[in-house]
Amino acid sequence: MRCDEAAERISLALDGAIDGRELEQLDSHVASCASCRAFRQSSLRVRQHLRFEVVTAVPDVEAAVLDAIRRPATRRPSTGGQSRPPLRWLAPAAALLAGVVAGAAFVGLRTDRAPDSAAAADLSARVLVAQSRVDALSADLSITERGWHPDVPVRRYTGQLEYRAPESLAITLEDTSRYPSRAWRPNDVTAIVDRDQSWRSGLAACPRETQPSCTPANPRILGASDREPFPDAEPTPLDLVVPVTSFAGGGHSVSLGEQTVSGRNALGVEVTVAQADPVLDGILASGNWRELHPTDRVQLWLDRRSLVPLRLDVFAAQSLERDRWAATRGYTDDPSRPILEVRLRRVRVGVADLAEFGVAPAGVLEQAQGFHELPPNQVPAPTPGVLPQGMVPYRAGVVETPNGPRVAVRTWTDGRGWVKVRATEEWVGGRLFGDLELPVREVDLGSAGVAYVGDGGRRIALHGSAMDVVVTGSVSEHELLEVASTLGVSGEEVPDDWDEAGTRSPAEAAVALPGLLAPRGIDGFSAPAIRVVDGNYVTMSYTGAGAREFVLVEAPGTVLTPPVGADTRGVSIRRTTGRYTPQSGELEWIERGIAVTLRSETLSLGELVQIANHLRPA
Amino acid sequence: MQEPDPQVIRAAAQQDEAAFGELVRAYQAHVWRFLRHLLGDDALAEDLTQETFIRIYRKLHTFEFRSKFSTWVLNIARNAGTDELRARQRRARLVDALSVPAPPRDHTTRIEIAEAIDGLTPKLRETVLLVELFGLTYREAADVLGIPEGTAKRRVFDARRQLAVALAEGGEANAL
Repeated sequence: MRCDEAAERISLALDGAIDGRELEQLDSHVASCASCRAFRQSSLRVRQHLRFEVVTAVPDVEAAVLDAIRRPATRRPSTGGQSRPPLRWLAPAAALLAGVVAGAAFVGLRTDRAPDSAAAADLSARVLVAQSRVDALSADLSITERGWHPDVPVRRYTGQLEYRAPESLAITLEDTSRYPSRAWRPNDVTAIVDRDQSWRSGLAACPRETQPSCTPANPRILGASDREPFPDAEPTPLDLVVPVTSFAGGGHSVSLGEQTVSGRNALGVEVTVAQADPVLDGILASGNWRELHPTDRVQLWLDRRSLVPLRLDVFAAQSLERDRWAATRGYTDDPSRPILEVRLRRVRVGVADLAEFGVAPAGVLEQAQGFHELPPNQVPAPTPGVLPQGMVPYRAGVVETPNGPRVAVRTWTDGRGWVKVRATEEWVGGRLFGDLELPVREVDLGSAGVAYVGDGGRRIALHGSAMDVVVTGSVSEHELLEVASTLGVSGEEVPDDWDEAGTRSPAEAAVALPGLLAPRGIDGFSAPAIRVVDGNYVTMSYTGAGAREFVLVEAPGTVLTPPVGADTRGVSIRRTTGRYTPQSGELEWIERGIAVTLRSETLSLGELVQIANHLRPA
Repeated sequence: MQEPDPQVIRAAAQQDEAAFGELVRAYQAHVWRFLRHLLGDDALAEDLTQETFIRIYRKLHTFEFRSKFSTWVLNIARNAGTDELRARQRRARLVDALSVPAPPRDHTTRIEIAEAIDGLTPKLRETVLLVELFGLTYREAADVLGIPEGTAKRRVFDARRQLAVALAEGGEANAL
């Protein structure tokens, strides 16, 4: 490779226009070429200067522009020539601008300035009601997937979905795509859940660069027997049939209006992949599929009456961080065409053909999950005094695994909605029983003592003197708290050496760190779970619908620690200069002696900036 | 760069001031940064940022969602900047004719790289700024400028080569 040729390639490489082998060849040339290294170094210096520039006083022209457009066109400003009237007479005196990276009203985040349509706004209440309406469903499935691999730009699937409440589900998908040769394996998928057993068959995912050779000849078949009701580790069948988890938490959506889909009246909403995650997870849990970015847009059309998803289109989001994510995976997505289309056709509500259930193929790797069903009255788990309307006892039993505690399980269902109580007398402590992620929120249950709420209101834990309990379910946080408070277990504060001991209320956190900032006027997220450690290091965790979440960390500080990500770039935020690291999804800045970090794996930079702009003293 | 909700663009096109204000807030910093590097003058960049949004407001009804909104905005900003540069060239010719010496460059307040960028021709400067400031792809930069993608690629490379030469010279000058 000649040096002038190498310089041109260095320029292309800087812009992500070459990769793979070409990049390796270039690197080996550059290693032995001083002038090439100098060229790359100087180009990187220019990039560093432009992308990380400290912009302290970006002018805010909004008022001036609005003022100008309100005036009649007679005083129309012209450009060019020394006689051009200065426009600055319109501007408010040296106004500084906060939060300049992006504006408001992006899909996914609802603020007090962007009201929802009425139809979309009450979706949260409606899915909670609708979940108990449909007890069976049968539909034809068709899926189109774009951009999985350059040699197979489009893949198509046809299949069948059968569901019977509360936890029986069959999904079969046949890959009908054309592949370049027989070396490519079709991505056929089967997923069966039938009460206490389940199995799923699909190709193991493997990196696209090594396709098709990395794909094993035979699909992987995983099975589970002695399965407890509504296990945490698997997507629940209910979410595929009514997107409860995607909307019940007060998820934010933009209304797309109404239209006819598959011969039914449908209500359209636009959400992010993060929010639709429980629905997508139900479909894509097995097999070798392309990846979706958490901020990609999902247009979801739900049957107006039953709220069953009829059609789902995923579009690539447009942002710098999404572009980088795509570049590292080799995706070149056209934002105007769906990268994934899912259609339900011939939808029949109230019917399910589950004749094939329970017939697992030979060669299934079966994993016993240790649940033994027992008559409910023989299960040593507390029974709630109050249950959501229409709920009757469903499967109950005991889980016994070699290394875990003996856990009693009771469940109730009204057909599709469900509530589960897990209890143990053998909990060794150190942290709460029930897999609550830190931080958690403490709730006063009155005479029932103290409860800890995790997972954005989807998990309630009680630490009793003799028994530890966790309550989960598809119903609202309020109903789960009511169940927890009537179990007859008096919740105690966790011991000082447990992980949750740093749990604090917002008022306590504000005392621990004077000047603490907290978001105001942001909808679609739970009340924060707050943890304070080392006296004044505050972590506030906010959970939204689906997989949407963000964490706000604040501690005394006057300088940011050195950046760790190669992609870190400077941003103007809240009248100062901060930085954003796409890899970790962290937006950081210093404000009045507090180092603030806003972190999320599922929200875009635009949404983080909006949240930052809504921070006020707590 | 983030793209706004299409509903906000539609509302702004129908002269909804709140929606238009939202678009101004979302893009004014990008537009200002681009213009100040293009023109090398912060105050002028501020004036032209206002001018850009006034033009955007008048043209919004012509936006057809065929391109990204951000590239459409940058195209208008670039046109406003180019108009100014042309006017400046006219003024410069007049100044030459009157034999008034140009004011000396203030080396103390302008850093080396900014000077090197100023030294590029407007075509090379605008192209490399779009790619480096905003991380636009060649295709997107080409869309903003209304040129073929290959031309954008070539201009970025030429700009980088000239910058490298200018910065190396600056380095030597500093060493002396």
